[in-house]
Amino acid sequence: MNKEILTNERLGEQYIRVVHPSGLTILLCPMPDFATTYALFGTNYGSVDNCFKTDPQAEFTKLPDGIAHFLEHKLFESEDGDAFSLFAETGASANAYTSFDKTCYLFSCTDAFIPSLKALLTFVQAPYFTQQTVEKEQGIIGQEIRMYEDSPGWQVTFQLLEALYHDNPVKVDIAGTVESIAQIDADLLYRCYHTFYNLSNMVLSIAGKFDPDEALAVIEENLKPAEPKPIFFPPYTEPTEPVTSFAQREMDVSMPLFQLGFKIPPEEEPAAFLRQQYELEMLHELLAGTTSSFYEEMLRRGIINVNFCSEVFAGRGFLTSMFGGESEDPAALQQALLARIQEVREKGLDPADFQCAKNAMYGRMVRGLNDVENVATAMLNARMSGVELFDTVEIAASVTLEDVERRLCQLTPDVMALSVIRPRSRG
Amino acid sequence: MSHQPFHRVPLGEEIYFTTIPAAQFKTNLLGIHLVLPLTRETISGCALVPLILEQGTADYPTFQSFSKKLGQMYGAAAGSTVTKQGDRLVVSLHLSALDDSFALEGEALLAESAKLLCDMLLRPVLKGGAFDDTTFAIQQKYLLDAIEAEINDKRRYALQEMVRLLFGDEPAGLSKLGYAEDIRAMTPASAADTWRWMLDTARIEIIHVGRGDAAPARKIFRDRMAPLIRHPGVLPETNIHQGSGPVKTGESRFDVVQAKLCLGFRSEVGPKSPMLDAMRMMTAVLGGTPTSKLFLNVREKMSLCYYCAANFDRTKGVLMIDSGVEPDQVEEAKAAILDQLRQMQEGDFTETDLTHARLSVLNTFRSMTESPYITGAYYLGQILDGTALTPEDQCRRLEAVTAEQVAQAAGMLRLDTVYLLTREEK
Repeated sequence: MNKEILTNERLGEQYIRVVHPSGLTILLCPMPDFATTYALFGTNYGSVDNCFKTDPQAEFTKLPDGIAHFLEHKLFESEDGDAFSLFAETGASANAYTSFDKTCYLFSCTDAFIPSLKALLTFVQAPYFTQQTVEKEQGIIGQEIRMYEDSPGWQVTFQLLEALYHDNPVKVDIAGTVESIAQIDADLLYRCYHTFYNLSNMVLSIAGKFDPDEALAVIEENLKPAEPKPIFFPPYTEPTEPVTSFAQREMDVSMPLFQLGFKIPPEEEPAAFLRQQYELEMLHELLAGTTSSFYEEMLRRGIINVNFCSEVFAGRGFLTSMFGGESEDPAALQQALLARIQEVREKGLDPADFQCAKNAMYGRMVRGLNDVENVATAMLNARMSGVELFDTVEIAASVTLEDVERRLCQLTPDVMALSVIRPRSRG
Repeated sequence: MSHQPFHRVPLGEEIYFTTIPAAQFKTNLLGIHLVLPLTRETISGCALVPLILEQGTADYPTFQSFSKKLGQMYGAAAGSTVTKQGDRLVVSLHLSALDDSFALEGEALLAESAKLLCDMLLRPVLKGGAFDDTTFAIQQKYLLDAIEAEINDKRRYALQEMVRLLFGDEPAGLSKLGYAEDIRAMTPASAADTWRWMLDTARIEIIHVGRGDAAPARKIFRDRMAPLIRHPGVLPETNIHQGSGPVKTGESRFDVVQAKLCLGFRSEVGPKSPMLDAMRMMTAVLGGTPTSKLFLNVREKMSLCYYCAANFDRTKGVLMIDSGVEPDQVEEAKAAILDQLRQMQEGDFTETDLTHARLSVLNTFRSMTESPYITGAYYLGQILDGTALTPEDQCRRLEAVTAEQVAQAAGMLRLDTVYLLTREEK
């Protein structure tokens, strides 16, 4: 096993990286002052990865929307029962989640770490699907999809993604639709499993109170390696302009919810992509964050309230600069934000404000190492983005004012869309 | 108990400073908690005032200048919360900043945080004794919007409605966001009067969680707060009782696809009850984990709901069960939930159920000290309950709970309220 210790002087922190012969990357950060241990076993596979091929010569295959999430639900079931029952024996709290570009299985425990780790490694590597269990799950996930249909915050975001993206899979709900999941069967699940749950496409990340050598011995005993499989995805072909620049619908909300987005092509190289995200994050803060004159003015004019916030919404194959919140007049906010962008393009950014935003970002990163869950998650996320956690700190530290100003030209009206959820008119 | 889990010292009349050393964190969290009686007359002001105080100080009078100050302190986070603790209200201001050891220029961030937090409480932006007009107007509107926005999250809304119905006229039934008509009637001057009243009468608990040396921060709080001339009142004890009369029911209809069913049960099991640990175990076996009876039976086996969970509020002795169900399966789901509770009362659960629940509850308690906010909230709870148990003390007590006690705890619950949020009739 290839074992390295990664260190960062700035933070005075270190962790262990092991690349197992199976291709699995293992990241271990012992934090002996904490009472808990948090372990994540994840695959670089999420809802956007529904079109792929494993043979470079073949055509791309498209699978039903929501299959990655469906697979996550089903992996919790083995021939002998539910994976939760394995963790019930140890007292660990287990869970799983599927995002746009990853699926992770996790547990947090204060005792019985070794048996919990065994349980995690065992159930994730033991797929068991039958037609009968798949059908039952279609009912349960159908309920979950319905729950999100009633969530205005979720709907305003997906309405924006549908307005922005022509055929990018990010615009489809992570759980799919009732219709799409009806097309899923056991064979399709096995096919996805054997493609994406190959250890070379996976990361195991552990932080907290544990002995790394003991953990490595258990991991070694419980891995089921398979021949690494290359996976190919179609190239980014998203047109520059949105499908529509405005979308709205009515729901039971008290005041209009909005989400404004700028569609930006993601940088291809991993470090460049992360850098792009940090630059945009700082730009968001300087343009419209709580330290900006814009935020203060919008608040004073009553166009936004303190729920206004921004996000660099990014993952494999997509990046959108988002600004959202509640407003009686989302169109006025849109106009004002565009005017603000134009003003900053003409006048430039204030170096003192830039330094303040950079300090705040450094603080957020240190703060992010405040608990075991964050550390394990940050190590895994960085690795799946193609870098290491400490690289992310250094990339953020190296961003300059000029880098941030350069990103301004990506926030233009022709790549923008506005999504609004209006209160239902009660007649 | 072998040791005092925290160090609490008086700084002035009904003002206490508690430090919870926690070397594992890279930050220091400071919180000032004003403990007040919960009344219909004062709740709205108490909800609005912290929203104004968190927007700036006399030295940083605009939100922009205040935010920049926090940004310079490496993105320190300041904010406020309002929570109900039984029949009492806790209004909190907090500030979290990196520990001094991570400051790039050697800044004394903990001391600076203490000063800034004192200023947030003691030196707000005032003009002629009233709050700043614009900040007042922005936050008044924000609070009114938040009250209206309660319907956006149907799960939480349904649970709140159930709680309101359950408590009826008791203080705990009041909305912690306050009441729109009262908030509309407030002015920058009347809100500032409420602020003065809060400062004058509240019991004040200051809590520090982190690795930094608390002594300089404590001195700052002492110097700033001890000279205050105050008239703290006697805090009312929370009324915990079983209730009586027929089951209360409520229903609302919205344009939703999934219905929310909430059941509320009362008991006399409060923070100091000898049955509290048994009730916690009972809640876990019934609906506190993914291997609980509600989850495994009502969700997994019977597919009657997407979620179905039980929570116990020790401050009022109330058990809440909330579930997301298909609108045409509400009655079946309700019967299934009540049947699971009946099984608990009859002792119809296995030793394994109990072991699994116990491991899960112990895990939860032992994880309490893993985040500064949760640690702070946990010990504030201990202080307000008048107890001084560490999570490890709690674990020892939970380990001693027997199956008979769990069944006995289940038997102490009385169904009080059923609330349903469902779709509009076609």
